Parts: sequence; C-alpha cells; structure tokens
Amino acid sequence: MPQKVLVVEDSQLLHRMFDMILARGPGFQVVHAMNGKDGLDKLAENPDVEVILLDINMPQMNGLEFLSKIQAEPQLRTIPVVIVSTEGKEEDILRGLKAGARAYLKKPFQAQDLLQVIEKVREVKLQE
Amino acid sequence: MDETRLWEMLEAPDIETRLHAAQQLTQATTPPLDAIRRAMEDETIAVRTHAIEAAAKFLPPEELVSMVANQQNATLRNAAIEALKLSGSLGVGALVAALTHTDPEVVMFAAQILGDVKAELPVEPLLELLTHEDKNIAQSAIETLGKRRAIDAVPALVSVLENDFWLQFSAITALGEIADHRATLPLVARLQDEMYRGEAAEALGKIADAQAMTPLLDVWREDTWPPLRARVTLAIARVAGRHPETLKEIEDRLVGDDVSLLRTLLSTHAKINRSVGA
Repeated sequence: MPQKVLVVEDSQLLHRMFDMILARGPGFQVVHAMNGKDGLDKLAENPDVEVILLDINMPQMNGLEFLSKIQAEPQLRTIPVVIVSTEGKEEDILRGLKAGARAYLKKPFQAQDLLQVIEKVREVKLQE
Repeated sequence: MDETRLWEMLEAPDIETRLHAAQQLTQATTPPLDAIRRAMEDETIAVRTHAIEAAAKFLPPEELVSMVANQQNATLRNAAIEALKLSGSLGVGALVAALTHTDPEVVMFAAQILGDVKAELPVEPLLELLTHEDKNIAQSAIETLGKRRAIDAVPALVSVLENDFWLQFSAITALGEIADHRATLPLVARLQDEMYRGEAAEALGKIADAQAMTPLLDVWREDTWPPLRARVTLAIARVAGRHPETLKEIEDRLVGDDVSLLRTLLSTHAKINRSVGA
C-alpha cells in the first residue's frame, strides 16, 4: 500500500506540484485539503496518514490553528507535520516548531528537498 | 443595535452570541469599525466569516493591506486577505499599490489576492513581477495572470518556461488557463520532461490546437503511468473535440491494442460529456 501524505494548502497550483513530486517517483498517495478545517475532515477520513505537509496562510482555519487542534488530539499529535511556507524568518520557524511541527521547509523548494524532509521526519518517528 | 451592547456580545464567552453580533455587523449601515476589527480575530471561523464580509464593505482597503503586513497575527492576516478578495473593485487600487510594498510578503499576498478579486485589473504591474528576484512573488504573479486569463501575458509567460522548476511549472499551468495558441509549441517541448509532462499535456488540451495531437499521441504511447495517461487521454479528447479530423492520426501513431484502447477511452469521454451536457 502506498504511504499517505496529507497536503493542507490553499493553492490549487501547489497541490498539483505536490502531486507531481510525490506521486510519481516515490509513489506516495497524496490526500488533498484546501484549508485547516478541510484538513481535519480529511484526517478523520484517512487515519493512516503518515506525514502532513502544512501551509500557514490559508482561509478559514490557518495552519497554526490546524496544528493546535491536532496537538490536542492524542491519536493525531503523533503524525509528523512539516510546515511548508513562504514565511521563512527565524521567528516564523520557531513559532511553527513551538506549535508542534517537526520540520520547516521554505518555499520555493526543490523536489529533492521535499522528499528529503519527508524521509527525515518519517525516520525520526520510526525511532520514537 | 446599541454599540455598547454590540461590544458586550462580541466579548461573550458563547459562540452563538458572538455570531449574532457579527451578523449585525454585516447588516448595519454604519457598523463600529473597531468591532469589525475585533471580530476578524475571533477564535470561531463562523464569527470571522461574518466579520470578513463586513470588513470588505466597511474597512478601508489600505487598512486591510496593512493587516496583511502583520506577521505576528496569522488569524488577522488571513481574515484581511479574505476581505480583500471580497472587496471587488474597491480594493484593486490598494492591492496594485501593494505590489511595490517594501515587505516582500505583502507584495506576494497582493499578487495572489488580485487573482481572486472580481474586478478589472491592469496587467502591466503583474508582468513586472515575473522577473522579481523573490521566486514566491514571481510565482504568485504567474498564477494570477493565469487565473485572469491575461492574454497579453502569453509572450512573457512563454519566456518564463526557460526558468527553474518552481516558475516553469506555474507558467505551464497559467498558459493552459489562458489557452492561447502561441503557447502550443513551447508547451509541446515540455512534454519531453517527465516532471512537466502531465501539466503540459493538460495545458495543451485546454488550448486544443490541432498541432498538439501528434505529440500527445506519442506521449500516450510512450508513458504508461496511469495518472499521466488519464490526463493525456483527456487532452487528446479535447483536441479531437475541436478538430475531429485529427483522430485519424491515432492509427498513424499507435499500433495493436493501443488503438482500440484509446478509441474506447475517447468514446467513453464523449459519452460522459454528452450525459453531463458538456
């Protein structure tokens, strides 16, 4: 079974990029959500999600609100979250990591950077 | 409603009361602006949704842009972004001015928001961003030009196809949205690269130029990855829908079972389209 990655991102274009990078070579199954609220619904439907890729600035429920919701749920807080955002200042990164994210990837990213960060957070989770 | 009472309701611990107050903000003719600002930061999405509607109508667009610049408060920033999207022609001037803001994040958000504003836009300020050193800004401008189907942007977007992955992928998508024939051959060239193949095929389907049929059939034959094949099949169906004479090329480019498989898939597409009235 392909491993599932949940992408929570409000840009249709970026969803297509994630699909291209993740689905073809490494064969991940990509689950798409357009904002934090949609992301929570998709998590309920896909409890076997292995990694979450999360944007910060989104309509309705933003990325930090989404993070605080999943951190409050014992069965969800173990899923590694990678923030993928245009906001790349040190304070932004610290804010995301303090909110519970495991890693931070700044846009624009290269395909290889994305694959490496996913591999890294999955490895860390396996060692826990 | 009395302003003091409205404030009390917006500070109430229960959601229903705050929601009722936020609804009042959208219905009033001159609601207190501070109350709108307060409700934009409410922890409940439904309350914020009403406040965003009120903010689009009553807060000056320049103030909404300054909220977009607030990096410390993601809730307020996102509420302001949504309000600006709803502001229509009222917000265009402030958003275009924000394209030269000193904060690159504000420039990027302004370029993104302009893609969703329901109003006429000047294209030139967005074209100038295509060569911006910040790739996120250039990418936002590309996406917006695609969403706005900015036909004048085609030559500039074609030149972006020589750029890196981030911008090239975005430009392919935008050229598909604009669907201008001048992009056909540059997009055909992108079919050679596995990373862009699906996106380029989809864009070529939207343009539906007869010149794309042969290269699309070649990709369909050579690359059998199922998700890619589905996109290429749809693109072929779109070209054939506009140029039925190109269907004869199927026998020229494919052999054996591939011919009958593609013909069956195209026939299924046509039936589905007829049944949904497309």
